[in-house]
Amino acid sequence: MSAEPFPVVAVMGNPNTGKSTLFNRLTGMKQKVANYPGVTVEYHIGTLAGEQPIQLVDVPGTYALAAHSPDEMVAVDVLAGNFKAIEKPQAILMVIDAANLRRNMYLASQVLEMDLPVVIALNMMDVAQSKAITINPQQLAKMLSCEVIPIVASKGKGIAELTTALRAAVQQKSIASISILQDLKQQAHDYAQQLKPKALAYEIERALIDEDGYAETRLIEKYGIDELARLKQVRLKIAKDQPLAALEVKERYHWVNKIVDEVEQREDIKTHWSEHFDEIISHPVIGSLLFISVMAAVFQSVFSWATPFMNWIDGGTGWLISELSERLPENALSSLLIDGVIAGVGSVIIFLPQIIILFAFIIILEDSGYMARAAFLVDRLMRFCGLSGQSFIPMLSSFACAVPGIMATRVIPDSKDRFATILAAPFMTCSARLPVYALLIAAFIPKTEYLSGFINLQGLVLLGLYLLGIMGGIGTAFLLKKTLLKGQTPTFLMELPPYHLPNIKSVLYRLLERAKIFLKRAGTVIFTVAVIIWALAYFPHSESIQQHYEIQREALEDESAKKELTRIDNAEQAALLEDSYLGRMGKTVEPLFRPLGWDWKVSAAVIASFPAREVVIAVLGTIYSVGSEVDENDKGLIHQVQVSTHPNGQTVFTLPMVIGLLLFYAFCLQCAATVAAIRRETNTWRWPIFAWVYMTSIGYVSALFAFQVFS
Amino acid sequence: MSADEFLALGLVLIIAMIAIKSYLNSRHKGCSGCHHKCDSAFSDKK
Repeated sequence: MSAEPFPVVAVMGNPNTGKSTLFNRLTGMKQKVANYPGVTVEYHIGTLAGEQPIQLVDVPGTYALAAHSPDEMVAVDVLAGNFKAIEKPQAILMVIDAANLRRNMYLASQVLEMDLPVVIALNMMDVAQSKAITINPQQLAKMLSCEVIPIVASKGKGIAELTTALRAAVQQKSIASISILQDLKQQAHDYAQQLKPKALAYEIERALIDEDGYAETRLIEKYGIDELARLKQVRLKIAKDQPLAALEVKERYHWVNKIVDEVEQREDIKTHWSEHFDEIISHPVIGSLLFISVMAAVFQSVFSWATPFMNWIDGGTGWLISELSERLPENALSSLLIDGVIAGVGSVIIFLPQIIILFAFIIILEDSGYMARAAFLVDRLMRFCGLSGQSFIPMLSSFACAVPGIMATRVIPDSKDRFATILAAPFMTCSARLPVYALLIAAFIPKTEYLSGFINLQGLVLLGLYLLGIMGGIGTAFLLKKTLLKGQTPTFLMELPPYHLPNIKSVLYRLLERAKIFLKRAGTVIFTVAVIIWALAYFPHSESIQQHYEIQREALEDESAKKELTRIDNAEQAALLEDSYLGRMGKTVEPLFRPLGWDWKVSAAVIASFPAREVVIAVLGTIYSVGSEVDENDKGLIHQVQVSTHPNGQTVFTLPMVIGLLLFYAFCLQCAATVAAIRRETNTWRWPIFAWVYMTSIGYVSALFAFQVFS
Repeated sequence: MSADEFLALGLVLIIAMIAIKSYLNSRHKGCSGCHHKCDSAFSDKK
């Protein structure tokens, strides 16, 4: 952090250059994740260990240092040392994809102008070689006046040489910066000197180039509206009648072409195997079928592979509950610990194996380069509903959590597209929906197998729910773009990264991060809710009810009446739960949900889960634990919901009711954090209220339809 | 209300108060309380 004396090196590069793999290789587990202040962009900060440690800051992948949006400004701000928590870098590690030198050199041309020592890591040399591309690193180093180290980050090749070069770079005193747009640089420097307080010349440069961009807005906010006229005047002086941004591109590419023509040789070879493969994968029919098959296989594995691990956790929780029940006296405190904390939190933690397996697949598919192809396929679908591929990344992020997904929409320049994506994102199946789906599917969907066990019904239902979420989101965007947010579909360019084997260390690190987030939430939010729900389900614990059943118990005379004793105990638990504050609340809202086939327990659990949907599991866990049958060992929540009945003896969780409940959870907006994020990103309460009413209504109507039609 | 019930209720109230306080703190630092991991130490600009 800022207090540490280590020199800072900013790690920069285009997206898909293996920057993260290299970062993980250099820092190992000595890293942490954080968000840049005020923006959505997440970054990693890590330490390159050794006698002379260096702090590495992973700057978000970018094609150019531009400053149109706050997110884009992050890279400029890191290099300028504008963040309180990150010291101004003493050197830059520029990661370049050797197979795409020309394109990568554009950003390099900007980085080399920053008056900081630069080390270039020429990554993926093996891929370049396989494409018959030869690069002369020594000549490149000479032309750029900086160190150029050829590496293969995924295999650890060249890392030692790179580390040595980095250590030398942070000690370097004299810097031989290049200067491509000399006039602009001089004008920006003079401009910055005249401002009070003085500004950084590079920020002025960006404000001059990126007309109407964020750097310009920030300059005007800080120094006043008069700066706008001054900026215009300087622009006119430098570029005459052409836009400065166009001049920058022209000049830089002129420089880049000169360098690349000197150092790179490309032999004409037959089409690379990956290009043939891409033709199949991105084919509208074959590609789509392949994508659905891959996702189906993933969801099968979520259920088949997680079961033994879930049984272990379930067994562990059950053992803990039975041991504590035997050892602790039967009173409110032990009930709080056993029925509230352990049953509530345990019922959510059990889904950790499924979450880890699902995310392992998603991360592997992302790292292998397949997800980018999937984005390309989905782009067609996005265009159909009036959005572009730009909306795909926010939607993909929403499969983990809608909040970063909504925040990631900041990269969409058109406000109508942005709002449509913001309202579509919460439909995607986030990790909080997964435990709810998993519980209901495991309890009520049979494990019917097809195609010699390759496909099972449970996995298919889960896949169906994911697809339903996607359809809900796309349908919403389509409706909005045809009505409230009518507008043109923007163009979108996307780069397909090369295929490569995922790095196990990197996959494991990201999985660990995901598991930590889930467990932290179980230990904080879920824990608190479980404890509060326990109190609501336990109190007032009426003495008159207890006395009523005590009289019945005393009336029993011998051991043969044990069965009757159990019946009385069960009836007492049920009466106390029904009389509890939670019972009263559930009964108040029950009429609203009765048409959906829900009893007061389900109604109470659903109401309690409006702030965060996965809470429903903990609430059901606590409700059924507090009112559990006293003669049976704990058989877990899955069993409890299966045997739950209405007062008239009818089963509560019938298949139509379960389908309805699944649909309700697929569509309903039960997440306070998402509502808050929509409010912040749209800057009005109108959209979050609209989203909440719209999604909750769809959820309710779908559940009503499913129950009434299928019953 | 028995002593153990009183103690249990007290514990629940303390836990709820700690949760509300930490939520308000995180809101103050610009966090929306989502699943996403972030570091509140990074929430101020120079």
